[in-house]
Amino acid sequence: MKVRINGIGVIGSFGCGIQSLEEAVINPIRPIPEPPRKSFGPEQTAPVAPELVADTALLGRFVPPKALRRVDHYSRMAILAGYLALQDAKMDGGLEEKLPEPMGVIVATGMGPTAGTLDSQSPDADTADLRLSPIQFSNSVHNAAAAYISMLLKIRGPNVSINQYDMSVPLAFQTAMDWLEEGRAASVLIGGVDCFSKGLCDATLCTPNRNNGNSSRRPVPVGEGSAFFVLTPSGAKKTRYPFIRDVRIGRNLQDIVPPSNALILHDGSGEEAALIGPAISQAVFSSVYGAFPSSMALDLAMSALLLKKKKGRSALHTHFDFGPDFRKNPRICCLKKGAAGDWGWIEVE
Amino acid sequence: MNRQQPIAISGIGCICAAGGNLSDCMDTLFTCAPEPAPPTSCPGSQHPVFEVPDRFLPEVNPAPLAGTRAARLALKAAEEALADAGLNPEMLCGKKVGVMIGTNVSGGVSNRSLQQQSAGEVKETGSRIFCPSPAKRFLAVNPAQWIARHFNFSGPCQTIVNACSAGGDAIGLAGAWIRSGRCDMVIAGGVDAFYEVTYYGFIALMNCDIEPCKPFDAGRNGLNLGEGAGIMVLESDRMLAYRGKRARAFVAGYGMASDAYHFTAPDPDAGGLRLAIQDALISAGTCPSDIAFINAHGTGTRDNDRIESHLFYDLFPDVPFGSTKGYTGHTLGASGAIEAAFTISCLERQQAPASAGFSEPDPELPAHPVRGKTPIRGTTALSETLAFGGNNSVLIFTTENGS
Repeated sequence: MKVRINGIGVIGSFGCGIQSLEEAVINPIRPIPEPPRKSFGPEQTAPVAPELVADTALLGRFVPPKALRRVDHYSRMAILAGYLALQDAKMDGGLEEKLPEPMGVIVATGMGPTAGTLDSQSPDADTADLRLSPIQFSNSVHNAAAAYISMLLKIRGPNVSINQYDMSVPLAFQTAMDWLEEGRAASVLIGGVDCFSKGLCDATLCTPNRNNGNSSRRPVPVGEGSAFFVLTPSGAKKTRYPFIRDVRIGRNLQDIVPPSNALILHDGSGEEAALIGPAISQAVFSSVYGAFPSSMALDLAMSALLLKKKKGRSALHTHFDFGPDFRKNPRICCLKKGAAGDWGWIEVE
Repeated sequence: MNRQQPIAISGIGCICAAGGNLSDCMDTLFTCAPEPAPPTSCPGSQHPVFEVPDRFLPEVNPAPLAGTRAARLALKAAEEALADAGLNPEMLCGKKVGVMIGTNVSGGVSNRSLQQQSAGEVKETGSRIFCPSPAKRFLAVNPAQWIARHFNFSGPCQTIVNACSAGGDAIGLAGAWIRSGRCDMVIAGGVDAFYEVTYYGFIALMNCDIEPCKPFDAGRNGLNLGEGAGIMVLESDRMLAYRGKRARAFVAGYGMASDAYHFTAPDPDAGGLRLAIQDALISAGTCPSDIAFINAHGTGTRDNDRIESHLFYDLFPDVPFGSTKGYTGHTLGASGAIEAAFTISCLERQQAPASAGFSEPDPELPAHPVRGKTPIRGTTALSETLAFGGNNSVLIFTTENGS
């Protein structure tokens, strides 16, 4: 079953909203900045990490500050991306003010609200240090972002949070397609979110292959962000964005036969490039928003933009010609290699 | 895909404070409730919990590399469920077997035992960098991944983190994997192990009773935490026919909906729960009068039990209901799956246990749980779970063949 993307909301170090992503990649009005470097701990011993962090100040336009006073940064990113996706879906003659109901909510996260839990737990803590405040504890629950979205947007449909590390995003989209096909939901607000954290940053620094084994290449920066999408069945009227044609999860990458002329997007931090091989066109946009377990959601937003605009920027590890062959049969596949050896694949056209 | 297509359940496994397997758990439910006790890992604490005795776990850790107690609980219940279905790993070779597990705290990379383990490594090596990496943490703690790897399953693997409704949601959502043909079987359920952060968190929210919990009782004063796992084998009709087996029961319907009301308190009008029940009844193609028994969420907190009682009185005025939290404690992400297992067993026995902890009816509640062993007159029952963030999950089971 094909599903339609009606609206996209994104947040990352590049800014907020699909226009910001477009400005960063499709029509650059400024060079992509080198990520700022932030150290943790004493300068002499601390590793220095590039960080691509997101600013959620724009959320104040949608939600009164009082309603946000207990909400942490992790959930704020997801809420903002959700609002932006719904706003985008209602623009340019897209969906009407009243979205098809029931609307489901699906949140995919690789780490959950880790910055609020892992980083707040000193490894040397005795049990007394485990007494989180009621707000800290509430925000540590892994469905916090989905719950806030439901509460603030008054969405009473089905609601699920999926936490399967780097396979969370493809699994979430597979679930959304199931809901739309079996009628559990008439529309789905779905997205991925992960929060930059000290633990993630440190661990990523000591992860082999983070620059794909190529020391001459700029290493993939650790990032954070969120991308949300409003999905409906493909039968709905006007199309502003491409369709999601297929979602697959498997153990053997050899089972994938990429469509001819397809461009494959991945985060460049794993083995994807080697697995795909040099004969197939690939692009990596991690320098724009960083790599994190659910960054495939931002790759999917990028795919929708590239297919909509049919052009891209070549400076981003993109060895792809957006030429006549692509314009004739435009198709992009997002690929994520999982920590457990599995892979996820989302194909848009 | 037609979500009204019932999904066969061919095997069930369960472990919690009430017993090390489903049969022992049911014996406990029909005899007397175990006594909760303050957790041994939190010295000086007053609030009792229902921990799984070590004797219920296998002497030999089935997964010696598993970093967590949750993995051991999940594997124990999964092995029981597979054996109950008449399956062994060799028989599943080449089959599309997926794993979908709900959990509250046991699937994340923020697991504290690994944090402490990593701290030890840091001290030993003098390094400042945390190891293992988040990816390694995930592989070590994720119960769905552990089950898939232990049994060498090749299908999709998914962890649902819908807080306390996660286990019920995993069973409900897994049905789509069977209906779509994506899987021949799905190992679905929930697991959670006792976790100090959660324990202190619930105490901070003032949701815990310092006595054994008393769901729906006038003197109820909060919940007791528990731990455990409930796992089911969901199987396609084609696979069951191929194996010449019969289903033990069916997932006849599943509904989920959100309160969209408050982060930690249920909607006083039970708006989300009502929607979830309606959704489940529609997907089961049934009506309230067909429901013979209700397994309530019944945590023992003032708010939860009040809204459930009012809704049962409104929608199911003559249907007996009860809570099993007095036998198991609130097992969080496992509760929906453990109680689904109990619900099916009650249908098979045609009898429901007493609602442990209930003795004095609350005059403010219009409907009250069963006081003693109660006959079940019918083949269809409903089990529900409510969760942090306003999630509501409702499963309808039937033992009627060919439904």
